[in-house]
Amino acid sequence: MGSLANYLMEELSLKTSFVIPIGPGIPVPQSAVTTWVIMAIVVVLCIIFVRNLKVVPEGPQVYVEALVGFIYGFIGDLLGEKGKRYIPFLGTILIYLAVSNISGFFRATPPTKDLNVTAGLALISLFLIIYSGIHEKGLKGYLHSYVEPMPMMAAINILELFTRPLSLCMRLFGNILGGFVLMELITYAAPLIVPLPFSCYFDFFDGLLQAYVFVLLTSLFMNESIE
Amino acid sequence: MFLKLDWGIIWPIVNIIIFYLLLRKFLFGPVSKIMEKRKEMISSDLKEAAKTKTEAEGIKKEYEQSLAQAKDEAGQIISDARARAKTEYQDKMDKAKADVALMKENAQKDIEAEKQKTIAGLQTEIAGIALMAASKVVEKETDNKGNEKLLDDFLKEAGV
Repeated sequence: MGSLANYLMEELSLKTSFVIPIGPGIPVPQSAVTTWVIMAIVVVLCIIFVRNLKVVPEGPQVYVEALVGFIYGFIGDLLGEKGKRYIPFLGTILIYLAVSNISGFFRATPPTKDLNVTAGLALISLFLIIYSGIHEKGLKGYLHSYVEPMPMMAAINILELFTRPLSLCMRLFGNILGGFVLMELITYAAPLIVPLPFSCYFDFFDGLLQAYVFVLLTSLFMNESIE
Repeated sequence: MFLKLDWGIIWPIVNIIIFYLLLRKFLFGPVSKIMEKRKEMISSDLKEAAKTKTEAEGIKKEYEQSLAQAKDEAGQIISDARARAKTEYQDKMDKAKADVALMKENAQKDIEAEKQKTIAGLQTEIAGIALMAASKVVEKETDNKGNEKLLDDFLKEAGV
């Protein structure tokens, strides 16, 4: 039993891939390296498939356009006309989360298992919520939105500023970590074939769902601060 | 430990921003550009089609109008021609009738003149013959009073 606990703790611990030898040394976590690999793969795929775009689509262009069209439709519907400029950024987060959550299926450690990553994403999302509000209403108008519909609500509105990113961060982190732990246990108990259906569920279904939920909620919050 | 929140939070933020810039350049930019282009093309094509349609309708109207006009003109020409032909026919007929009448009159005149001429000829001939006969009679019996009287009577009767 002790060996299983040790194995699990070993797998769960956040590794530092290498240290950039500048000054006291900048540690580069494993999640960042995985992220770079994901970025490289996605960008290379984009360069391969988003070449020679034609007005009359043919071949893989149809699928690429369907994907981009889905992202534009999904986020655009949530954000409305005013939030159109944020679609590519939220689409990037969606693609990044989807790919990194799925990466567990290929025996990579998903970057979203690192609390720093989900917290960073939650910070970005908080920044987007505040920025879109200020951009749309001006600083004064945005600050005024905290005392609406009545000044008493200000405390709750300010509290939301912390609870929203916290819930975004923890929901994503908890789901991916839980899936990861379960998958490690299953793989430990029965390393052959058995993990496959579970991996399909935890990595594909849950992973894509969490990516969707993260972007959905961020868009909803942004829409709220824009309107 | 797996619950570690530290300065490593910088990494995902920086990575996402770089990823965003890359995707904007390689995925969202070109794809949305081409989609926008297609949208524009479709709307301009539709506009063009609507324009062409109205143009075609105008041309059709014009064509129908000119066709109706041509039909009217053709009818006019035909009726004109018919009327002209009728009057011409009438004229010709009248002229022919007049000619025929004239010719008939002339012929009758000719016949009459010929007749008169013949009658006159015959009369002179008959008178000659009668004279000859009379002279023959006279040669034989000139002194015969009765014969002389007979001759006179004959000549009177003949109307010479």
